[in-house]
Amino acid sequence: MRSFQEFNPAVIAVYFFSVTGIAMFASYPPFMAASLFGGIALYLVRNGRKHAKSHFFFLLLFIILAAANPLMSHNGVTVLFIMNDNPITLEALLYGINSAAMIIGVLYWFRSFTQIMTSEKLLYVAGTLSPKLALILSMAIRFVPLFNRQSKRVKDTQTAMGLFRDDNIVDDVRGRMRIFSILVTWGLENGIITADSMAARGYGTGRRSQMKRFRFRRSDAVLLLTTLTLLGITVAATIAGGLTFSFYPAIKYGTPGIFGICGIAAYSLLALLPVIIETEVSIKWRYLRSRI
Amino acid sequence: MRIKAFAAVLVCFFAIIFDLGPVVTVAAGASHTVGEVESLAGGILDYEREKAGADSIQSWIDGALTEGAGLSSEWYIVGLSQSGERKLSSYERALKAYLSSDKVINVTSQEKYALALIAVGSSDSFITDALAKLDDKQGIMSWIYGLHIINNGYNAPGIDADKVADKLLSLQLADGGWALWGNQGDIDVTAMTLQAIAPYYSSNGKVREAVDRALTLLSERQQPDGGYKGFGNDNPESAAQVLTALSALGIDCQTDQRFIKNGGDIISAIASYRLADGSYCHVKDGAGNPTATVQAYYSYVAYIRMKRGQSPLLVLDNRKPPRQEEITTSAVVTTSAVTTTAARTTENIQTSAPEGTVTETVKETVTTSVTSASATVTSKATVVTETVTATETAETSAETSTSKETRASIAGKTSEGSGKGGYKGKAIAVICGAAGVLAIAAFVSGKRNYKNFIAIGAVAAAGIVFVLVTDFQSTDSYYTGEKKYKENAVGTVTMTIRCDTVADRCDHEFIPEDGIILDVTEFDIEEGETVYDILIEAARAYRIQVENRGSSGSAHGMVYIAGINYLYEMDFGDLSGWVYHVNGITPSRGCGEYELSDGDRIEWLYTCELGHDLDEVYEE
Repeated sequence: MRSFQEFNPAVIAVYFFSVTGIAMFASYPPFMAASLFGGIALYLVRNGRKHAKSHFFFLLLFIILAAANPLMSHNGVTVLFIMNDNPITLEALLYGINSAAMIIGVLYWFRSFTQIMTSEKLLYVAGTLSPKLALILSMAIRFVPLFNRQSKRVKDTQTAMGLFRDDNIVDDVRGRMRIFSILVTWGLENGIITADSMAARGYGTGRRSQMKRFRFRRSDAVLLLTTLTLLGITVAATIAGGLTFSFYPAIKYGTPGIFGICGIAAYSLLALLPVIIETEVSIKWRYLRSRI
Repeated sequence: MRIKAFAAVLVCFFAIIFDLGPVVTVAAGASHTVGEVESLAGGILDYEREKAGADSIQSWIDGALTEGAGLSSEWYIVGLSQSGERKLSSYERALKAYLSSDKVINVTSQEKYALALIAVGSSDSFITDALAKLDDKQGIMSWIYGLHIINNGYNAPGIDADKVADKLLSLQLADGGWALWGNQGDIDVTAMTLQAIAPYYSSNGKVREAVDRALTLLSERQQPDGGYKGFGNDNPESAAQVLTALSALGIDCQTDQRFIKNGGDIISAIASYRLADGSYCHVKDGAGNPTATVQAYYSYVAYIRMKRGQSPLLVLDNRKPPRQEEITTSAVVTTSAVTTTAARTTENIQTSAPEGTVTETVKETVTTSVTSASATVTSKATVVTETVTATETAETSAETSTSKETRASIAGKTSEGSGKGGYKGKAIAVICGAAGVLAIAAFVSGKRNYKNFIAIGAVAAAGIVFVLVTDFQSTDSYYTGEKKYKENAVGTVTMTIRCDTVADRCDHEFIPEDGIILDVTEFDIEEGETVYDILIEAARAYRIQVENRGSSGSAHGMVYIAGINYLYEMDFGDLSGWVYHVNGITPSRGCGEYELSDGDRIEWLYTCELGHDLDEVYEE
């Protein structure tokens, strides 16, 4: 009984790339819905009410992305209204919603991915393939929390020095821009220092070793097999199951056969796999605790 | 025995009924179907066209009818316009030239030309000016014509539908008819009056009562062959006027028993004057008469329109009345005064009219200058019915402001694009209001730094700029379904949109098999109009999807056409897209920069090889 993040990093990586790969390359609305739902559900199950504010940001992003497409593309037979001699169409709006669902869904998957795949796990997975790529990846991912911490530090310092005024919008925005500028400068400098520091400590002179051991257990094999099976069914159904959907100029979709429905079901299951595992774990955990 | 005899009588009785039934139907109903009436009308057009030596209706319009503008063409133009003919711009220019010479001083004639102008889709100030000249000094014909103009949505200060209708009702004679003089109703004038007041049949009780009396008269005076006598002899013109009037009222003369006599109905009576060459004679076995011919033609058109549920002959499909704001105020005040003046006018007319002999010329002028009127009872001409409702509002509720609004909204609906931009004021007001509320909220919550207010102002200004540069229109108001009417047209150009290069190599459901998206179509141009303007006009008139990129509204016209009719650039390889040719030459400018001149030939073509698969001749 392990929670999702305790599985072997390689299995988790395969899982993430399967689910986001389908979401990114098959622009099929039911898949988008499943991916969006699974991504958000996993994030909520893992984080609960933490980072509640960030969801509003993603909601706003979703709306902007969905609305941008009909303003750019005017293909489609169902005209809603006319803007500057260009028709704004329902098809373009639905296409926008579909791609916004894809982007936001994938973003949510990667939010969970960065939480689960710590740099150590990432180095373990990618280290054998290409140590340099793994290092760059882990450092890139590390930058996000690093910047957050540093920006808070800079802001606190500026406020303490009386340079940061937030009693009006204009000065507030200007102050934030100054902090951003400081951060960028600091980031560049920090990059050089990190590189020097790593070279000084002898990075890359020998084979990488791990601090933590990641074993490949039977449950890992089960999860890997399940992931690959579901992925296989989904891919096969996408290719041969009549899962076609075109938005322009009129919405047209093939009726999925039994095989196609299996594909949709398989992908939905795939997207919900981590949530199922987490729920199972928490139920078992509660059950065990209740017996103490 | 008794029962047997009774049964025998009964059987005989039924036998007679069943035998006679079909015979009677045949006798009374040598009736014409709509298709037959259409072919009768078409026969007249063919006759006139051949007489003018034209090989198509269009060349007849551009030739003989344009030359006859102001002289003889008006009723053919009205009939053609009401039959769906739209390319009347050459005639329109000729008529305007004729009118600008101020030859026409008679108010009735001016009103007739005003109706012709409405028929070609003009909203020239001539129309309102002619209507404004209507006063008590004029005879009954000018009131009839004036009401026709009003029925098309026009108004002049102090002249509205109520006033004119009341005036016409006050002129009704004791026998239920109307006449130019004398005490006996004349068939032509009665029918013409009915045409004008027909739209108010359902809404105005007095009109209904008057119309019913007049219909009784018309039914009584109908001849055994279904036709009518005017000034003593049978003629097709009187019958044609009655047919037009009945059609305006929504009465089908072939089914209404009041107007079917033993010998036939009105249409069969008119058709009996038809000569071998397609023209119509004034008296049986006489020579062809132009007046009889044209009146027969437009009465057929009126009947066809009634059968199709369209508006009456003289409620014109092309009408574009201007917005009217100031009209009703004086109208309501004057309504009461009308009754008193009306009686006096009747006397005037009756005394001043010449007594005694009737000449053929008088007859001719009267009959040529009149036609039918507005919405039938059953007609779907909603605009007119709304006008009627608005008039009622003005009458019943003393609030002139409400009726002004109603009228303004009607005018807005009928005149193209006048509602455009109306939302902008509201949107800006909403933005300003929101900014104000935010500013007050900031002030109340203590964030009183002046920079806060500057920021709110800047955001509001950005919002207002956005509202001003964008132009939102509803689908219905954008896709007008008809070409834009151009007051100052300087010529015509033709445009076609084709995609022959890809027509046979795709299964795209929106690409026509013959590759023709828009066949060669004529468009009027105004000074400085570009290829882009005409393309957008076509898109609006024929509901063709067009996607443009770039700043179409800017001074430089930097606009690129990315797709037409769902066929986009790069749909057929990286080198595919839309290009345009003018007079067979590929211009080296954007379509928003190419200004057109009279007679230009625009082609929009889809290329798959950057233009090399088309016959390209580059601009010098």
